[in-house]
Amino acid sequence: MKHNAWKLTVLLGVLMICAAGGLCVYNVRESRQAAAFSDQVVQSLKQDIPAPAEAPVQEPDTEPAQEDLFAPYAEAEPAQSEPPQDIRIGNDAYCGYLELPALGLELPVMSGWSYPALKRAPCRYSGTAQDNDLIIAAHNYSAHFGRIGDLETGDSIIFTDTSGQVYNYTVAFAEVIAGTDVDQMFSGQATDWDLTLFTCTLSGQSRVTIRAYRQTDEPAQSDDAEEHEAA
Amino acid sequence: MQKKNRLAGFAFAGFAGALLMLPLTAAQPAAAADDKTITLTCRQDDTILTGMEWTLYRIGTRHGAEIEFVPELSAYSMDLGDLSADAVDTAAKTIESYIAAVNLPPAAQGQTDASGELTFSGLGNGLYLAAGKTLQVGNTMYYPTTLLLEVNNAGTGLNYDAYPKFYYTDVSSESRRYTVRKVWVDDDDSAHARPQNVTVDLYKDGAIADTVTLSAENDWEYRWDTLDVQSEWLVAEREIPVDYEVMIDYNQSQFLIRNTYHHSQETEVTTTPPAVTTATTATTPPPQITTTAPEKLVQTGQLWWPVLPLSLGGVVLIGAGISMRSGKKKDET
Repeated sequence: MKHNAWKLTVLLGVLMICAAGGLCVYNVRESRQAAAFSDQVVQSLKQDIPAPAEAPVQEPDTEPAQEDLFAPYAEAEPAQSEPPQDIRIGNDAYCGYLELPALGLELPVMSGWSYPALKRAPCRYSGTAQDNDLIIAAHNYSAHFGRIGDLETGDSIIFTDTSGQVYNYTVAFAEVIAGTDVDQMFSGQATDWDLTLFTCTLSGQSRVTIRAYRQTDEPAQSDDAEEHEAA
Repeated sequence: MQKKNRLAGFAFAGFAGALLMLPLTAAQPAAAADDKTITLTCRQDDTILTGMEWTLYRIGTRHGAEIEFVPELSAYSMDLGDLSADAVDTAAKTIESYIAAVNLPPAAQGQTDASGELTFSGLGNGLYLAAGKTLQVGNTMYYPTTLLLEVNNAGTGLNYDAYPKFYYTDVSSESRRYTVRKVWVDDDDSAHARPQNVTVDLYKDGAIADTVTLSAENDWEYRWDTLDVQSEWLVAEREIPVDYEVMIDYNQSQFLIRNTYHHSQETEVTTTPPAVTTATTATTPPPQITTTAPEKLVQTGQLWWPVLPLSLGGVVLIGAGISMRSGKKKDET
């Protein structure tokens, strides 16, 4: 038995290296599958996002304009507009798609998150684009958010919702937040930032977090939507 | 007992064209006699509004900065604002609504003649309200504004000409849709004074046509979908809540009933703590509802961290194995 100790040691070492290699292969394969899936869904979303509804045509009013007696007593709270309907592709519901031109990425965004869903596409973690508190989480696949740490201040981020509304953002700053610091993730929403993207660091202990703010005079209509309208 | 409403900021200039001060000559020895006249002239651009029915009500008298309503109206706590030119129209609509509610007998009635004029004569001093009925001319409906008029001894004549304003619409249907909404003008501290609901009567040409209850359940709002365009429609809050004053405004599709809180010391209710009673049943505090934020952010990383220790460990073990084999060969030689 003692004679074979070196063999066992070498074998164990080889097994460990094989395990590391197998894990790498698994991760790379998973990343590629996610990339292919996301790319396919983005193309579907671009086709499925409808042209914006035309503004209703006002019937000519033959009567002199009346003062709205109720208007001065309308509730002061801002009108909450309903978020657009999700688009279903397969078994998943999507709220729009994200473009990161600096990284050459176009990614679908699921309207809710779960661990199985995150393996396929970025997910809306909290908030909405309309309310300027949208948080999107994604795996750190290189084809998802694995490279968002490379984004720089001033880089552009574009989110298009399922109604064709385009929200343009500019990267404000990046930060690394501990995985347990939930308060920090939500702090400053709609004041310090309007959009947040985050993903895990390689260790999984922290989150690489990108904060972005909305550009003014938004939202606008997407080019795709305009093409739909022109067609 | 007659209620006296204060006329804050009572400005004669502000009444021009609305609450008309009917000046009578001071030289007239019988100035207080019923010998005054009001002439309404009803024309809209080039259209002479012939046959428009008007009703004149005497609603009270003015004493300095106060209005003393006739007994029928004195029970209602009306919010007439400051009676400035901007506010007097709404004040007139509010009073008109409660004239319908109490079925106040008119002082005079009549129709405009071929020249669009109508003269009420034999009037004594006092405050009057003139309400006209909708008139259809061709395909156009004309809605006259309600006028508040005052006849007194301050002027220099016995007659005064009044020129009502008109709103007009094309006749597009036989019925109209009206929405009545109740709004509360108070602060949070006085919200407790609000009743759970209020009763609102709908009047058609002065007679009750419908009664609805407004409350938080229907967002203090109700809509009538088919009210004919030829009739005069008014609403009145049947009982004005204690400590509130009412103002009513309307147009061709909306009725607004606004209750403004006016705290009165006389009606202040002092509360005493409830008597302590001994209960034999044990009471348990209400369950505490606590909300906790998620303890950890969603995990969004692939399992990369084992790669390095596995690789290093494997290399070390292989190296150790090779080293062990080399040592063994040396021992054998």
